[in-house]
Amino acid sequence: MGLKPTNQWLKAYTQLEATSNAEAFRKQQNKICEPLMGFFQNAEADIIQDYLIQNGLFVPVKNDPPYIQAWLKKRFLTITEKLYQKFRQKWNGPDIPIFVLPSNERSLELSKWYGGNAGLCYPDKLFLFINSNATAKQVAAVFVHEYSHACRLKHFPKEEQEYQLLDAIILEGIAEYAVRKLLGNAYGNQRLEIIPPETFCSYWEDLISPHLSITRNDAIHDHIMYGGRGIPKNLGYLIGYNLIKQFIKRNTYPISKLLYLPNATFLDVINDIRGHE
Amino acid sequence: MSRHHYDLCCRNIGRPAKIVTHDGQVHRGIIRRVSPSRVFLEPIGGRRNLGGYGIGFFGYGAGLGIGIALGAIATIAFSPFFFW
Repeated sequence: MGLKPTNQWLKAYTQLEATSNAEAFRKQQNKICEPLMGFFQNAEADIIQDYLIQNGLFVPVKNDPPYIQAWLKKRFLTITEKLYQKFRQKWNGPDIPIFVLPSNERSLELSKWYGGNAGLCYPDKLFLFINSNATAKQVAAVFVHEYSHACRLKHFPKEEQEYQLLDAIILEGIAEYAVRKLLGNAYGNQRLEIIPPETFCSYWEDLISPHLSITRNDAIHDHIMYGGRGIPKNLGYLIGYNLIKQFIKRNTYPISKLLYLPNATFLDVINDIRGHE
Repeated sequence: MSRHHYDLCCRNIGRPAKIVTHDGQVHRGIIRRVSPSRVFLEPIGGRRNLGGYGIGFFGYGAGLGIGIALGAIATIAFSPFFFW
């Protein structure tokens, strides 16, 4: 497994002409999303396309082949392959297919807060959406974030549809901690910051604690993780990151061990934070 | 392109549509109103969630009240079915 030949899919995409954006969408579906259908259960190419676009894949337009060709020259697959070999060994990580594709460079949200790169990780596959101007360290940041998920998910004792809000909060907290620990504070989700204990406790008691065991199919799950409509942006990520930072203050663990600690181990720190309000 | 999208939306008021904007938002709903600069959808529920864990970025579509700027639209697809 490992790197899948997305460079060849992208070349095939650039070789077909599109006279409208609608044609460019169909071209992306045929050349990039149809080959992915075997990696999803019961999902058609258009459903996969919509979902990947919502998670940061480039939005196809009729005149984008020159941009894709320039992206291909940057050798992002080679950079990712090296990262994969390194972290698979370092973290005893899983052997999964990895798909590296261009990101959406027209999203101000993505460029302002996430360094222009995005990703999506499942227990059995990983996507990276990379900006054409990304540096090797920026590629490493998004790879570390996503591959840390793959490592932790490999050991989850439940099916994906049973994953709960607490699982997501800790997954994202570990991922963002790992990115900053390995690459520095300028990397990772720039909305995340260290918040005072009283703010942490107030969010925890009011918004997180009552919903810890809801599953990801419940609308509240994504509302808390992503925020919006009265909830701070990326609240679930913010809480997860602060929880892991507080945990690391009190316990010394390398990332390779942190990745595999059970959820309950992290929750022990909550009472301690309450005591320091 | 805005003019093209304006005409297309005007011709299809009352039909279910999927609109993808350049910033990666996917909007699904019935076209209810079109102004010279925006199209207003009545959202259709049942978004298919393919799961996974991302970086925190997610392109949710806007609701009826906000409207979608015609100039921000990358593509519009129509369907006679409510299969979303």
